[in-house]
Amino acid sequence: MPTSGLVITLAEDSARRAPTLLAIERLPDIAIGQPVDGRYLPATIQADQPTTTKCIQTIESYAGVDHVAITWIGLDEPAPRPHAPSTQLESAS
Amino acid sequence: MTFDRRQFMARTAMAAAAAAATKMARGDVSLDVLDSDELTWDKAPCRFCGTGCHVMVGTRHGRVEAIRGDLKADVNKGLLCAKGYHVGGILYGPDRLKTPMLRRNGHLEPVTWDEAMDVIADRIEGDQAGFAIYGSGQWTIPEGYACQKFIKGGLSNNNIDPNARLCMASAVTGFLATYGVDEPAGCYDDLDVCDVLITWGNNPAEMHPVLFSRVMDRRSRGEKVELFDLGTRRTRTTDFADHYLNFTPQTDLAIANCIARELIARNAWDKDFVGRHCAFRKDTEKPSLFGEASSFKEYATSLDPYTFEYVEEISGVPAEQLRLLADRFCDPSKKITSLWCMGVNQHTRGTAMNTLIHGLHLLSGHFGTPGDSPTSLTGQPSACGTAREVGTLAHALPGGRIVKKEAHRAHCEDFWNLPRGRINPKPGTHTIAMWDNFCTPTDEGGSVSTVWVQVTNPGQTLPNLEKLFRGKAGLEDKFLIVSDCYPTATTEMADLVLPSAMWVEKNGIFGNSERRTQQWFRQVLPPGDARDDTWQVIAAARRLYDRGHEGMRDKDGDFIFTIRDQQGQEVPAWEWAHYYDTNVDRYLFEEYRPFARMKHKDLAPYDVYVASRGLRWPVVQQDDGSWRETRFRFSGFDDPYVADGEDIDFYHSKTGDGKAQIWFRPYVPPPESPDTDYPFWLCTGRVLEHWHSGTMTGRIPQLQESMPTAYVELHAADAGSLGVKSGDRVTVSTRRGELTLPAWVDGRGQPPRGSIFVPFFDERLLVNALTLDAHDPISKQPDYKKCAANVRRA
Ligand code: SF4
Repeated sequence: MPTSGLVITLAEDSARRAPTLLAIERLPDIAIGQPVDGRYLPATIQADQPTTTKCIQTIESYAGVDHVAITWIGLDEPAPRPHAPSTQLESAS
Repeated sequence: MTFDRRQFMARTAMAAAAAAATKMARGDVSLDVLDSDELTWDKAPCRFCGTGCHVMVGTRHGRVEAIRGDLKADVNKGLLCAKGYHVGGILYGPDRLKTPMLRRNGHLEPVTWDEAMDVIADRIEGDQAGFAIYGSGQWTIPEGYACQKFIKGGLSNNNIDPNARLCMASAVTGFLATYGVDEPAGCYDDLDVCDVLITWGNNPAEMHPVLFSRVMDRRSRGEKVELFDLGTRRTRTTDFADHYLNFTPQTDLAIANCIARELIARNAWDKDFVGRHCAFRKDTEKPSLFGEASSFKEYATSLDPYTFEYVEEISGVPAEQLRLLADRFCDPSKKITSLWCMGVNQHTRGTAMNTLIHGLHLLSGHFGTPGDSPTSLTGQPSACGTAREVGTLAHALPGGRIVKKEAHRAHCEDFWNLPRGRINPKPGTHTIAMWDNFCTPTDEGGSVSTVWVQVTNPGQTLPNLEKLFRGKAGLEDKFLIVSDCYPTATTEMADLVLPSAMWVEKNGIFGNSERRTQQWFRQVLPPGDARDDTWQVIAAARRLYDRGHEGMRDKDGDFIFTIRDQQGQEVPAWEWAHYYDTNVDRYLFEEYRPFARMKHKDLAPYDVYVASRGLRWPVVQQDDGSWRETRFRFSGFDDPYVADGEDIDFYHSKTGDGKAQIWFRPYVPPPESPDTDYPFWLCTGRVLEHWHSGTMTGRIPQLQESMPTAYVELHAADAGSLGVKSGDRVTVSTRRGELTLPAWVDGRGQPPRGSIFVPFFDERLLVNALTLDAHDPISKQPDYKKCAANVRRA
């Protein structure tokens, strides 16, 4: 399942943040981290692409959200792959 | 401990998000995230691959400061791959070229633009017939169009070719030979509904990741999409495949013929579809684009030798896997989409292989409904829009016309208001011939004396580099002009370097792999004295005009690049101070637009693209005045040019009867195969983190750090016998050169025994010094995917 990483910028008005946080938390497929400075909320969504897009749109539509930045998009790999050779060169030295 | 991949991905993504959140809280402005209130946002297509994702570009104080996926874009629906997410960083490498430079006494010294234009005009006046432009599938449509008009309408020598010759020329000839017209019938929407996806020598998981995620998403929703991956090495795409068919290089032709043979043997070919919509064709003794007519009987007989047993023997693919693939083509209830890119195109039988894939879809009737489609992908963002549609090729004119035909030349001359006979009927030099000529002494027949390179890096990407690029060294009368944004392996040899604006530092229009034309505006200014490539061409043309050059005048004596603003007033666009007084892109696009209609590739007016996230041609105006794009070409339910009542209509059919051509093309051994001296197959290609020659991605720290150097992939057993482990330095040699680089044993890609893979992104490790310049006889596209090599411990 693809994983997206997000930073959700909550509104400056702190009174609007709490209900928004609650609403975000209730969304399916999302996991949220600790807001930094109360405003910058790291989150991940693990869902197929249309669901992810819909979820982001929903978050953006909340009055208590200023902005959503996608910070990570990864195809889920079935198995871990070895590191690039340069990394191995470094670790060998 | 059980390794839970899903948790791992979630933890990694959360860690990245938390780090970004911390940066934001600190007010640390970065390209990845920023509060939108402070930014001005505008759309642009991603600068990298032919997928053509759209990004939103956030600018502040004249800098690009944030990038996000564009949720309104159909192509990517807000998602971006690792490259796209960092695309803004391409503008800010510390070594941007900012001033024109001329080589004097072996050193590049700053000159003014004025001096630079004089140098170009001098070179043209000195040897007009020997002047060439080498361009790119990264040219915007107006850039390519301006160069096309400059060379063919102004200099009358047709010496223009794009690097797309190295990447999709065989796809073009494949489409032309099959349908009589270039570019795919289907589109990305096929990926949303196909039951079976076949990747022919293609690795979309790394090369077109967002597109590939579209298919993988369907799986995560529980849909069944069966993936057949046909390749010469395991890739990240193979990791997702249900069936991996590892074939000996070049034998893909035999595999395609085997499947066609089986369709006929089982009587499972679509007789109704073929009878109504297809004809048969075969090669003439000397291969040519259209060959000669054949019959079903002759076709079937030619396929006879391609039994499962024979093809298993030469390809190494077990007969039961071939049978399985044949089963799918024989099943009319399955929707089959084929994807291919460089593996099929960079092939000495590239045209043949392209036509065979089209032929399989036609013969089996897997064509023309959503999900049933043979679709070739492009590596560059405007290989389709510019190189193919504008026709910036040595033999072509805009609108699918060719210089050889008098009527086509006349038509084009009329469009450009040029006197009759201005356009030269003789095709110019194609890429390989251009560089071969350039690197050959003049007194030995090297007729190209000056090449002007724009938006590409031939010093890294041409095959057989010592011969075709470095051969210029010491040839005093040869002159290389390079317009670029960064120092490259090409500028290293340049005599005149011109600093260029890039991506959102200029207006632009691209055309992606699915016929989608995409527009964007300049959003920040280029650094220093860097200027738009289109301006550079117009300014050079004007310098010639001012010197009285006849070619730069039209029939009425007016400058061939007379640009007018929307009020009809002439704008001195050749003066940089006035270049943005009007939108030159809009002007040139509107001038070019009627050409597109000639092959039913209708484009909407410029302003319609301004308001959209791209539209797929033909884009046709509706009764209510709106503009409608076409998703499925040649299909009666969607394509407005299909004759009334027809389900399918190949309206550019070579045979003039609405039929597509099913070709027989035999398997022919490759020009070079492993032997005792060079016992390995060498394949070259790209990686996820870098785009092409790495000029842009190499300057993005996050991408460069994650893939800092080229490497050679080796199979564990081969590494064992060579006494090599990952990280050891090995020397790869071919008959053309050698290269020492680190080994990666069974790494991200895994070649089979006896094969190695080296990516070409690393300008310090130029693998193309080793590759073959043998090329397809029809498309002239070279083969980067197979040659004989040796490997030893360094
Ligand atoms: S898939 Fe291609 S177009 Fe899309 S973001 Fe990645 S590099 Fe850019």
